[in-house]
Amino acid sequence: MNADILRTEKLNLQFGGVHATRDVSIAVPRGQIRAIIGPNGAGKSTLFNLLTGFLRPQSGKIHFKGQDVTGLAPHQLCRMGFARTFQIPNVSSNATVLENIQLAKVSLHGGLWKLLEPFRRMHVEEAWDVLSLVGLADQAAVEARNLPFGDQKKLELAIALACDPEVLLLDEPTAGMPLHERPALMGLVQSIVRAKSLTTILIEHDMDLVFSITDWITVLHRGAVVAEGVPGEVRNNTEVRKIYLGEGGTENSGRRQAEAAGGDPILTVEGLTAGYGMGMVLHDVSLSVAEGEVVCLLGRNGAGKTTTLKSIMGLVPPAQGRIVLLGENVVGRPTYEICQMGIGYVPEDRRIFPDLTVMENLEVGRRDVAAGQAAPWTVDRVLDLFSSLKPLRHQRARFMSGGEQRMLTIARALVGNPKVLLLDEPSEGLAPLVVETLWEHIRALKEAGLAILLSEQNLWFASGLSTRVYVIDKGQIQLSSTFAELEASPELKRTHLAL
Amino acid sequence: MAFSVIGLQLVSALVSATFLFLMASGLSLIFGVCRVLNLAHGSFFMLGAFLAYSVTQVVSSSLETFWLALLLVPLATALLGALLEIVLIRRFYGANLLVQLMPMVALIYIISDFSRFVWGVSPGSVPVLGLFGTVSILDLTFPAYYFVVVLASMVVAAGLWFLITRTRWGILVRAASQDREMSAACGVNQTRLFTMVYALATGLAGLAGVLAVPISGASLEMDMTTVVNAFVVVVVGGMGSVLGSMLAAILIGLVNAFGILVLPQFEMTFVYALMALVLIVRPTGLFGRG
Amino acid sequence: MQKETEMVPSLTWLQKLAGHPLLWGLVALLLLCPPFLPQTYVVQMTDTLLFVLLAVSINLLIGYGGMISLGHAAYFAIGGYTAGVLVTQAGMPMLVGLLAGPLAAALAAAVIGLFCVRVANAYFIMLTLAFGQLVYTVVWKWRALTGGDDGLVGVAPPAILLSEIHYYYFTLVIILACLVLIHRICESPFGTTLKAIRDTPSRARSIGIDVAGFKLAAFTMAGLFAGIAGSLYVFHNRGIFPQSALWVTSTDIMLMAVLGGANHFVGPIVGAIFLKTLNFVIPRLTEYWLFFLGVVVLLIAFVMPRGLMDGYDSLRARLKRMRG
Repeated sequence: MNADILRTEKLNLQFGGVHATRDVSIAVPRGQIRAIIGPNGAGKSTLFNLLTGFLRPQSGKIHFKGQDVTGLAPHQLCRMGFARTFQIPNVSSNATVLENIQLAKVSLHGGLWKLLEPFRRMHVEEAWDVLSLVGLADQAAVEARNLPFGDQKKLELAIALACDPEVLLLDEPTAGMPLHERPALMGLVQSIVRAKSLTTILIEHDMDLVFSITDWITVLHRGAVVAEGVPGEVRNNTEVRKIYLGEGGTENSGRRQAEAAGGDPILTVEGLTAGYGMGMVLHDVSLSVAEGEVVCLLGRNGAGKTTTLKSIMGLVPPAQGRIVLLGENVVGRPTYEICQMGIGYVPEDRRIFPDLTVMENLEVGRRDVAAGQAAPWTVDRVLDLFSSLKPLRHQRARFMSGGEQRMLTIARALVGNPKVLLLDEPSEGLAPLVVETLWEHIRALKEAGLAILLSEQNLWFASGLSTRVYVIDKGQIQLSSTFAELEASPELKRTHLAL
Repeated sequence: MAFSVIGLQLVSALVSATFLFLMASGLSLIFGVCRVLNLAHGSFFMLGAFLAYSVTQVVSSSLETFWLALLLVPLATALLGALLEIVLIRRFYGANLLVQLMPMVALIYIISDFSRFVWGVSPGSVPVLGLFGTVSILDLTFPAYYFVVVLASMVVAAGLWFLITRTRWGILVRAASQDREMSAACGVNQTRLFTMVYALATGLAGLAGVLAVPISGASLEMDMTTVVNAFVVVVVGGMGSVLGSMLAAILIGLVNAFGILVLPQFEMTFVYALMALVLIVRPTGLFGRG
Repeated sequence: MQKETEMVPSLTWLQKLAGHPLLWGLVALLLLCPPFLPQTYVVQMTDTLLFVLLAVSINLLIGYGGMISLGHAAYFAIGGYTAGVLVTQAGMPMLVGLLAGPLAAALAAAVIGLFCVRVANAYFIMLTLAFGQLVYTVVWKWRALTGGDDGLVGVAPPAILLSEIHYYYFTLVIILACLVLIHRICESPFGTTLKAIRDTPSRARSIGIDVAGFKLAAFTMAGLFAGIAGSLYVFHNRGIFPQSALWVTSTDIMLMAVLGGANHFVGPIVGAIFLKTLNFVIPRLTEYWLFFLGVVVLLIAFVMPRGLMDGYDSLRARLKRMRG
C-alpha cells in the first residue's frame, strides 16, 4: 500500500529561535537515490541528524516502513535498518580497518555482549566481503588513523554498508577528498547501492556528481524544502537558480558600477594549500587585495571560500603557501596577532558571542588606533552606520534576528580598525530586504576606503561592490578577471557559476 | 528552642556557603575559560589557610594582623597561581583530559607534602574568633566573625560580578568562554587572559582559606575536602556559571546544615541526594549551558 | 579462507602467552620466589598483587572506556568493609565475605554509575571523586558498623590462610584468574565496543551500540573487580580503615594505570608494580613520599605522558630502526 520506505511529516526543529528545519516533509521510495542539496546552513545536516536519531524533532513524525520511529535513539534506528556516514571521517582510529567493519558486523548480529568470545575471530569473512566491495581489502590490517584520507572516506562507507541497512544516509561522501578521486568514489557508491537496490539519501556539494547519480533531488533553503524533482527539473527550477545564483533576485539596476581602484597590494596569498586533518580543501590558491579595493571570491557552496578566509586568519593552519599582509608573512602566527596586525574577520556562520550584549560584542572587537589616523572606526561611528543596531545596544546578541547578528559581526570587526576586512558570505541566509540593506552598508565601507575580501556565491551581490573577481571551485582558483568582464560574458558565467 | 536551633543552622549554612561559593566560582571560571579541571584548587585554599596561620604566628594574633593576612595572603596565592600557570599548567592546555590530570595530581601531592614540611601535621589555629566579639539577634548569640565572613563574601561576590559584567576584562573573559576561536579572531590575546583568570581564581581560593582559618583552623586534609564539596556545588550549579555557583552554594549550605539535624551521622547524604536529583533532571546543572 | 588465516593467526591465548617469555618469567618469579623471601617482602607482594587487580580493573574505565574515574577506592573499600563486617559482626565464614564483598561493590558501582555515566569528561571526574568521598565519609562516620577511624579490625582468615605465604599463594591464584578473565573480556567484543565508544561515541551509536548501557556495564564490572581486591585485602590486612576509601587511594590507583600506560593491557600491571615498589622503598629514605611521587608524576607527564609501556614501545621501535 505504501511504496515509500521512509517518510517524514512536517519535521520542525529550532535552535534558539532559528529554524533549523521547518515543516520538512519528504517521502523516499524504496531503492531511490535521493540527494539533499542547499546552501550552507540550509538544514541538511540537521535533517540527517533527525533521521538518524541524533536530534529529536520538536514536532513532526518520521515513518519507516509505515512505522512511527520518531524519537528513537541512534542505536535503535540502526537496529531497524538505518546506517549513516559522517562528513568528517569518524572511525575508531586505533582499531584496524578490518576491526572497524567487524565491530559493525558483531553489532548487527547481536554479539556485542559475548564477554568470553575472542573478537578477532568474529565475522571475519563477512567483514572481508564488505572491504572487498569498497576496495579496501589491501588495507585491512592498517590502523584506521594511518589510512589516507580518501580511504578513510571509503571506510566510512564500508562501516555503514556493514550494518546491512535498508536506508543508507551519506553525509558528503566526497568532501575533503582530492578532486580526481571524487568521481571514482561516487561511482563506487552508485554501483554498490544500485546493485543492492539500496535506498540512499546523500548530502553532497559537488553538483556535477549529484546530478549524475541521483534519481531525485530535494532542495533545502533556510530549513524548508523549496523544490523537489528529478535532476533536470531541479537544475532549471527558477527558485533554485535564485538560491544558488541569485538570478532574478533583488534587482540590481540602479546600482552604480564599481569604479576601479588600485593601490598597492595590502594582502597577498600565494600558493595556499590548506585543509582539516588529513583532508586538503584548498589547492594552491593565490590572490591579492589592494588598498581601497573590494575583491570578490566567488564560488559555490563547498568550493573553499570559507576555508580560504579561515586560513588567512590562522584558524585553519596552512599546509603550504604564504600569506603576506603589508609585506609581512603571517603564516604561523597566532590568530590574535593576525587580527591585531590589521585583518578583520567576519565569519559566515554569524558567530557573535551569544550571551554578550551588542555593546559587549563590540567591546571585544574594539581596538583603538593611534591618534592622528584619519577617521577611525569608533563604536559610535559604527553604530551610526549600522543604525538598526543602535536601539538594540543592550540586548543580548542571542535574541537578535539573523540579519542583526550578521550586522553585528561586521560591526565587531570594524571597531578593530582593520586594514583589510574578510567578509564571508554576508548575504547567506538573509531575507532579500535585509540583504539589500547590507549591500548598502558594505558599499559605504567601500566608499570609506576599506579594503575588503568578499566571499560570495551570488554574483549580483558583488555587483557594484567589487572590481575584481576570483572564481573558486573545488578548492582551486578557476578564473581571475574583472567584475565587468565576468558579468558581460554569458559564456564565462555558464562555465564557472551555473549549476 | 527550635527557633534557636534553626537560627544557628541558618547562619552556619550561610558561612559554609561562603567558602563553597568562593571555591566553586574560581573552579568554574578556570574551567569556563582555560578548559582545565583545576583539581588542585583545594591546595590553594589550604595554602591560604596555612599562610594566614603563619602571618598571625610570626606577627601576632591580633585583629590588625588578621586583616593584614586577609589582604596579603590572597595576593600571594594568586601570584603562585599565575606562576604555576605559566611554568606548568599552560603546557597541558592542548593535552587530553587524562594527561591534563597528571600535573594537577602532582601539584596536590607536592603542595600537601610541602605544607606538612613547613607547618607539620598538627592543625594550626588562628585564635581571632573571640577578638571579633559576639552579636546578639533576638535571643541568639553568634560570633561576630561569622558576619564578617558573610559580609566579606558578599563584597567579593559583588566585586566579581562587577568585574565580570562591567569591565572590559570581564567581557573578554566571557567572550573567551563562549567562543575561543572567535575571540582570538577578534584579537584577544588568550595566553595572558588565561594566566590572569587562573591567578584570580587561585586568589579567591586563598581568600577562602584565610576566611576559614579562624573557624576551622588550618589542616592538611582541608584541600581535598573543600575541593570535593566545591565540585558538588559546580555540578549542581552548572559549570561556567558564577550565579549558579552562588545559588548552589547557598542551597547546599542549607541542605547540609539542616541535614545534620535530621541524620547527624550522614549529613552528606542529603547533599548527594540533591546532587543526584539535579543530575537526573538537568545533567548540566541548574544554570549550566546545555 | 586464505585471507582469514593470513589476517588472524588462529592462536589460542595460551599459545600467544608462550610467545612472551618475559611474562612467563614474571609468573615463574611470582610462583617460586616467596618461600625464599623475608615475610615483609611477601606481605608487600600480596599487597602489590591486590593493587595490580585494582589498576587493571580501573583501566577498563580509563584505557578502554575513556572514563577517568577518581573514585575507584570506594569500591575497593566497599568490598573490604562488606566482607569484614560479615565476618566480624555476623560471624560468617570467609568464603561468604569473599563473595558478598565483590557483589556489594558491584551493586554500589551500578547505582553510582547510573549517575556518572550520564555525564562525560570533567563532569565524570568530579562526580566519581565526589561519590568516592561520600563513601569515605559514610565509612568514617558510621562507627557502629565500621568502627569509624578506629577501623574494622580483627578480620582473620581461616587457620590455613593465616600464614603470610599461604595467603600470598591464595591471592596469587585468584588475582591471576581475574587477570585472565579481564583480559578475555578486553579481547571480546565488549572490550572492542568500549574502545569504539571511547574513540567516537557518535559512530558507536550509529552502528547500533547502546553507549550508556555499555558504560554502565563497564563501570559495574570495574567495581566488581575492585570489590574482589577489597575483600581479599581485608583478610590480608586483618582489617580495614577509612583511608582505604580516601581520594588518595583513588588517585594512586588512577596513577598506576596512567603511569604504566592506559593504552596497554599490561600497562596498569607495570604501573602498579612500579608505584608499589617505589612506595615500599622511598618512605624508608624520606618522610615526604607524596612530594617525591608528585615529582615522579610530573616527570612522566612531561617525558612520556602516555605511560611507561608506551615509552618502552617507542624505545623498542627506535632500537629496531637503528638496527635496521
